[in-house]
Amino acid sequence: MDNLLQVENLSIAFFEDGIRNIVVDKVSFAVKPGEVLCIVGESGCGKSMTALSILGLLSANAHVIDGSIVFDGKNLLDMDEKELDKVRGNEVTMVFQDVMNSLNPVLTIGNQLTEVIRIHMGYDRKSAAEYAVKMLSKVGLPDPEAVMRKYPHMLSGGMQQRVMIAMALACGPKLIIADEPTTALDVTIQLQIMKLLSDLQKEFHMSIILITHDIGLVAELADRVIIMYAGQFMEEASVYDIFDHPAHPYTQALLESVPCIYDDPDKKLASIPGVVPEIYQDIEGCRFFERCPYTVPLCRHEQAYTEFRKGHFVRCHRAEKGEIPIAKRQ
Amino acid sequence: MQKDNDRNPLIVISGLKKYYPAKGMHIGRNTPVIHAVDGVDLEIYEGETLGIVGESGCGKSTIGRQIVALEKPTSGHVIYQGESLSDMPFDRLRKIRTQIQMVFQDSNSSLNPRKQVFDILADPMLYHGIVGKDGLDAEIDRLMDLVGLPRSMKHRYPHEFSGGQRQRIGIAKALCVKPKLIVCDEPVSALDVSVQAQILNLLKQLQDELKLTYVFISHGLGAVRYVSTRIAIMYLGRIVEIADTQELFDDPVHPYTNALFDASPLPVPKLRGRQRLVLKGDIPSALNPPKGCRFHTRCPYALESCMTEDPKLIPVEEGSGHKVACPVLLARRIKRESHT
Repeated sequence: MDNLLQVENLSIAFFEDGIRNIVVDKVSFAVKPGEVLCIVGESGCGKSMTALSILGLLSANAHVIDGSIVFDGKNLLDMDEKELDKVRGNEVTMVFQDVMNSLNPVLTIGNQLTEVIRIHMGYDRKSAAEYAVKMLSKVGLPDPEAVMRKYPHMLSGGMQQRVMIAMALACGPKLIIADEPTTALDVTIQLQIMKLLSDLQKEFHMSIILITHDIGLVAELADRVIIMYAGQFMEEASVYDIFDHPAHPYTQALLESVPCIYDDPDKKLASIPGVVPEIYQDIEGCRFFERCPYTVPLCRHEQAYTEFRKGHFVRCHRAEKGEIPIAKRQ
Repeated sequence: MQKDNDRNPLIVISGLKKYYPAKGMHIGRNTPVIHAVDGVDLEIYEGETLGIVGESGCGKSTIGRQIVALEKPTSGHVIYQGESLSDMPFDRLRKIRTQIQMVFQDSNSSLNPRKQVFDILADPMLYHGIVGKDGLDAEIDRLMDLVGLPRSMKHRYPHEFSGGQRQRIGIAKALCVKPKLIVCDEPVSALDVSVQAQILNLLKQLQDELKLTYVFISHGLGAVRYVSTRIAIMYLGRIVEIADTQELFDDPVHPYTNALFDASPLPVPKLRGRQRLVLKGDIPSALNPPKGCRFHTRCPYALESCMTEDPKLIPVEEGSGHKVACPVLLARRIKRESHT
């Protein structure tokens, strides 16, 4: 099956006062049609930057310095804004974490939603409004006609996120990029939104790139998982391999440090000592070195990202040789 | 399980209500009020960690603020070792405050950015006369060791620390006046997962060493379960269920408790297709909470009586510390047990 999105050797850097700080370092990944890919990492690891760069939404002081992003056979990095506008909002759309700031507070929901539909699909005012109502009921909003007349502040966080999803789905995209879509929501509402996203994804056979730090969400939604740390990919595998046979010491530690409500109550939570390095472009060798329990002198050298089992990539020479014990997880 | 009357309550909360005027709306006679906490009775026992869980707006943080007497309740009392905090003269309250401390979620805004860590810790100790000028250095070194910060960092400013380290300073600040009770309001919510575990383990270790009592307020069930010995589940200003941690997770009764457990994502991909209770609709507004049981608008088991009758917290068995505010499921549970 052909890949819908193919990212090769992507590097992104911030430029401040003439100083270059590389925050995403040569990442490559692909998304197949109908696949849910999760990119997991802690704050500042570069996961959101990777996602934003796909749609050309990086802030003014951040630039893609190398690599290619090919969507449906076209390199998005070669496009000008006008060409890009045909892709984003149409074939690739985005759902943001901060819904309150992603919706325009002075326009009604109907106004914002029909604008999207009219611009991208060429509908007239009346049929766009009809279509918008249909989309709002599709995402499970009760009384969609009334919602059309409301302003964003009149809706709860969960309802706003549903509106955002309706907007993202309106033009029948092939790929949705969801950046922490439920982080600002309460758990019972998060469950509703998660279920909605995964039902719609199956119904429309879309691909989703889900950016998150929540290990639980990953286990619930992902097909494939990428673990990111300090600007690099550390591990990539199917969701079952990541959770059942995590290879990289960082992945293992990350999974162990999440308190689960069904754990043995007396089990001590494993914590990772130290902190994520803030500036990591100058670190030679493994970037997890300082915090890793399995280090040997060879870890001070550059680590290759290799496929050590079919479909399972890891950036750790010891994991690759099978020298890291794989903790059996329940 | 331990019976309530064997233990020593440090704090007794009775009939606590806290209403806030809704800002910027209808100024005048009929200012709408937010029913943040609406009739809560609760005991906090010495040496325990009481977890308070609920979604945003359920009133869990408001209870925390009443316990440390940052605000006066609208009605009801918070009684600390026999004395009501709301009726206390200021001088007395000032003394009591050293015994009840708080750790905040946002260590960024709860630490003074213009003070070095040394002064952040020294000022309250000098003010309350915990140590004199001569013992100060040694005491601050001891506190830095206690929370796992290098002593050499004591002359730095808060912004020079990472989020996890700042939370350690927040904990040291709470500890410096030698409290008995610490209210932790979402202490790890703003931190990365790998750092959350460090702070949770630190809190547990300090409790063992210093025989502290905690009130641990959080929306993260996993974290609450990890640190708490007893858990109260809140919904819209009320406690709907309270029990010892193990009992609550083994035998949750209230439909909201069950929904909350089901809604927490599990880090086990094999279980993703499991049966779970998905609640419909949103949390109602605390401006105008539903009559009767506050959960009836979203409850799959609601009967007509739930819309009018206000459920009380009832022990699941005679004398049990496991209490539930749902007569419907409690009746079913008793029926089920008598059959088996």
